[in-house]
Amino acid sequence: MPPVALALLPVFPAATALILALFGRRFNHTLVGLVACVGVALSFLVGVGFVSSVSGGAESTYVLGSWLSTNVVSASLALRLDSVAFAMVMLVSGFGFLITLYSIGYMHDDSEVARFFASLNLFVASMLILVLADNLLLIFLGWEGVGVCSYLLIGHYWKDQAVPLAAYRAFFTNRIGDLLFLLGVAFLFAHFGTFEMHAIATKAAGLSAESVDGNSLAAWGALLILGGAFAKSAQAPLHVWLPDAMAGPTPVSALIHAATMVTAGVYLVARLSPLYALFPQIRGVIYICALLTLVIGAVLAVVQFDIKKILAYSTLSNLGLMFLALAADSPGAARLHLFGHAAFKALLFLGAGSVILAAHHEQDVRKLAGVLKHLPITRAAFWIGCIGGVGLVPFLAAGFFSKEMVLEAVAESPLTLGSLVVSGETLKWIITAVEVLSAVYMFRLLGYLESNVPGEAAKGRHGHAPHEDSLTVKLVLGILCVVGLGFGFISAPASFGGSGSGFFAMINGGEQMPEGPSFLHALPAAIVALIVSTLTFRVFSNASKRKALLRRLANFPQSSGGPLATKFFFDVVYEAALFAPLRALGRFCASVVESVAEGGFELLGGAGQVGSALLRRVMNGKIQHYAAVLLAAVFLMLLLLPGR
Amino acid sequence: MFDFNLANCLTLSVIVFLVGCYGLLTRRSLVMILLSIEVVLNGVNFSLISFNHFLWGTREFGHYLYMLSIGVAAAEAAIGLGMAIVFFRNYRDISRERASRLSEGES
Amino acid sequence: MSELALNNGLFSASATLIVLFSLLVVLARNPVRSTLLLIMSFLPTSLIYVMLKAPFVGILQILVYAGAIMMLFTFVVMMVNPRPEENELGHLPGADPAGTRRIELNVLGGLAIAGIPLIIMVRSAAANLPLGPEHPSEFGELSSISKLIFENPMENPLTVSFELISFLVLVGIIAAINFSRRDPSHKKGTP
Repeated sequence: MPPVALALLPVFPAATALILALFGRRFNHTLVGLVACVGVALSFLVGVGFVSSVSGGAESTYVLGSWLSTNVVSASLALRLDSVAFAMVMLVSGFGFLITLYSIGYMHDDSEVARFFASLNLFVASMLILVLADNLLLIFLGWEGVGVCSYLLIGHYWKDQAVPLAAYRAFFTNRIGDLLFLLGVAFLFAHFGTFEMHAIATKAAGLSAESVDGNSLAAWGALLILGGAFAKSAQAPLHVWLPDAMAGPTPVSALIHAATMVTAGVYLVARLSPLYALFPQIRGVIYICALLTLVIGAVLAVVQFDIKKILAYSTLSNLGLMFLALAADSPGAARLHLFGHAAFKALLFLGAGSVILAAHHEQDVRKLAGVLKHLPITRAAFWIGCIGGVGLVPFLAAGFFSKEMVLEAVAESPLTLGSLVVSGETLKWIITAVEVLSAVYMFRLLGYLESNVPGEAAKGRHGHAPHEDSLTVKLVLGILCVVGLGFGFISAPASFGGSGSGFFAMINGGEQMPEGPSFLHALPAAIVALIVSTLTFRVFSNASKRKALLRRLANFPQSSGGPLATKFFFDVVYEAALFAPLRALGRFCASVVESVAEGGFELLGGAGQVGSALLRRVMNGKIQHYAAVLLAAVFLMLLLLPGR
Repeated sequence: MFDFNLANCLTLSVIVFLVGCYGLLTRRSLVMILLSIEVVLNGVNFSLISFNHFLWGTREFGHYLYMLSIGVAAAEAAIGLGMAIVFFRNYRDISRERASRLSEGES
Repeated sequence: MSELALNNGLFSASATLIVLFSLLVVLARNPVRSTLLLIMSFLPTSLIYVMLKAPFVGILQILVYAGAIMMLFTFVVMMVNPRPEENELGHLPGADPAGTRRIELNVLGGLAIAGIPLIIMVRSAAANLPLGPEHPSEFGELSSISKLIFENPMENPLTVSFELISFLVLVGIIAAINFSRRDPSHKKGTP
């Protein structure tokens, strides 16, 4: 495949986005969906054609032209495809295609499909630019693009009052990250003299950790870019937007907030991992934030009643896990979990979408109890997804090996931040303990959905039970079930006798897969997980046992203003420390401007009136007056302009 | 009495100009105002010719300008008097007060 | 008498006449009288023109100014036919003599304030200027002027502008005829 075809990858979905944006309203819904699918499918097919160009460590570069070229700064519009980018392109376009296909069924009775699909396509195009970009400025283009599309798609149901606020939240948090990102890019450029990521990575790899000053420009640059990645990938303290982003349609949550956009931060930091390898202190910061995110996500997921919120907090927790791998200087494990998480989380979100669709947009799990009985394919999706999400059994669970790899990496890399030092082993136990919670929330969800006593939604409407209507929904769920099952096989490390090294090498640019934990090593955790999962499932799927448990928990002193209900006080703190002062400042400025402007304009207007009153006397209609003025002017000229 | 030099010629020109200005500002009838303008132009033409005689010896540019001046004066007098006639036809009164009140409409 | 003294005397006399007649033009009560006095003021002007070596211009002054333009004025004055009483400054039925006096004095004062410095300036400037070169023979004659205007007509700007002036006069005629035409079918005042 010639390098110029790299440019086609983002162009196809962008073109269909444009077509849909301009003319989509006149098409019927199916046509809109088909056009959108074609755009992404073309991208996927062209991407597949590149598989030979990236084998064996080769890469394909296509330079569109020079973007900036001054004496000091130069950047070009260049797209670069190595095997890492290739894997991401396959992920984005493949999942993008499947989810677009799914959306044809999911959004069939929506009134604004054209805008939806146009935004979705634009998102795919932006994400492809992000992944293919060779330099940090071009990545920023894609970065911003996905942020905008996320805003557009979250705000799809804009008529609901709470929805635009959620969309703003996502966008503003991203904006803060963007600011930090740009500053970071500037600092890195100042230190390394280039915007190209692989050049920076190579240069950083050539340095040793002792030789670099912790206060240098490179360090600050790395820290600031981290801020950007945190905002995009919803790490604490910039994580607050992700649960609210569930206000968008479910396919959006599956694509953007599970598989692709939120992984952009992981992708970026992984690309720059040689840089971060130089600064253990910065990695200490990543450790702390990622741990926070991991814990917050897991704990809050346990107490949610909205099906999408449960999955959202689960995503938060898994993103924390990915960043923990990055903090442990193991981009390989991070990327592996990125793909694994995409496999099972997309499946779960799309399954949730199917449930929501069948239950006429009911999202409360208490009302959705027992609904899976009527939805066979969705049931399969949920079982595969939950088992995969918890990583219960090797080979069949998508998340098993990826989580194990992360834990192994963490075990070898201690947290050092200033004088705080936590050994890797300790960290590994902390994370394992939190991961037990993942078993709890996953199987709590599954328990509700498989409950023996049907809830309101499961009883159906008008006499007939909920059922799976849409062809595309079922088709995509089926495909993703296979993917979810298969991922376990292609990600298995050598210690388990698997052939995962091929896949690992591809997604990590030829890096060798580490040995992996031995079977005995992984056994205790697996057994604990199995026990907890089974227990949770049995309690929650049995309506009477569930009610008994909840009654006992209700006796627990727990005020509604407590940490669980207020999402660990993050919102309150942000409101008090940031938003309320900003609003007050805005009001103050507005009042100043009003009084100054009004006063100023009054003054100007008054002056104008006085002046015109004076001048008005010249125009009195009397001829001799005009003649006199004329003559006076002539005389003045004659007297005052001698010698010219 | 007066020497025949440029200074006196120009003084004459200025005095005639000022006399004409006085008539321009003082007369009540529109036609008489136009006549005063002719007086002004007379003074100005005089200065043109005297400049030419005393300063621009070789070619008669001043005479040429004089011809332009009277050409323009003729056209201007024609149009001005035409307007005065139309004015008189409409209002039966040729005074400048009536003209000043033109913006107020009939009568 | 020497030629110089003759010149000076002629000039003085003519100048005085010009000023006198011009004053009478603006002060006369009767418009017909004003017109005739203006014509009278053209005669000494022509004389001075001839003395200024501009014989052609002097002839033109009489022919064009006195002959054509003043005829125009005379006709119009006759047509408009203002009664003498109406045109007297301050002697109108219902006029305000004191107000008119005030206007007159104001104008006089203004002109004096402007005019006296002007005259002083002009005289001082004129006194300092060097005299121009000698006149060639045939200076100011029709042949010389026509040579000036019409030689090299393609490159001579004077030719073009001369023709344009004649065009201007034509335009003026047409305009004046057009808007003063009386058409009974139109509303009054519009051509």
